[in-house]
Amino acid sequence: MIDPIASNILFVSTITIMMTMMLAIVRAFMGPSVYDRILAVNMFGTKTVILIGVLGYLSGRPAFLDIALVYALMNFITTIAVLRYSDFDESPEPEEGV
Amino acid sequence: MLQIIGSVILLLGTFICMFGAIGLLRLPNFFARTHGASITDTLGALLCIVGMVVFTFGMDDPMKFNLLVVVKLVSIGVFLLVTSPIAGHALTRSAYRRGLNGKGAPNLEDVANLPFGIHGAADTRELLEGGEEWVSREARSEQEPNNSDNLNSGEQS
Repeated sequence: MIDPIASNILFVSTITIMMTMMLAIVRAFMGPSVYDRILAVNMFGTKTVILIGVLGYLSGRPAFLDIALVYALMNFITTIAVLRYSDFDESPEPEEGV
Repeated sequence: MLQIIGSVILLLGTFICMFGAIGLLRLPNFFARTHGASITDTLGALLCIVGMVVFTFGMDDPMKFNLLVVVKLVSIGVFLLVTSPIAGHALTRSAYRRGLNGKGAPNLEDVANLPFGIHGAADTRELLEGGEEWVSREARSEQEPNNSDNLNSGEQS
């Protein structure tokens, strides 16, 4: 059973995490260079892990944590794979950062 | 009571995440934005995980289920703490080596003259993987002035 006060606080933290993800998405869309976009997407993935965990607690089923673990693994692999691509391929030149 | 304490710690972690996101949005250049994103990946995520662990001990399920959940949480936390700094370091190193310049980017000569340097990477004679010599962006454009001239004239015409 989840305490009603704790449930409200969990709800507020869910809203806060969603606002964080929105800010990261804004940076991913307007980022002047490729690296800004990768940075924002990486942060978005980390926040997804936290959000899935908190949502699991909010609905009273912490078994959602398995999904969060898979997301954490996938996020790291994605970032490293994109970085390998941008390291060894000559085409995506970084634009002039502002 | 443990549930309330845990959710307050979780709320603190999410607020730190939001401060980092504001930094990611408002800081002036890429190498400064890395700082904002790194905060959310280490301190913010760690506080969220610790809050969830405390929250789990406040739930009135049997103890063995709680312990299973705590093991999952700790493995997520350890994995995030190991991989996020690695990803951030690889990203910044890649941007630095590709010569991402612009307002606020570190100047290669200034960094080379620091008393300790940045783990020696600022030596412009450093060899990349594959034996290719590191050439900064300005030096590259000085070496091949014809290419850039052709490109510019092609865009204009």
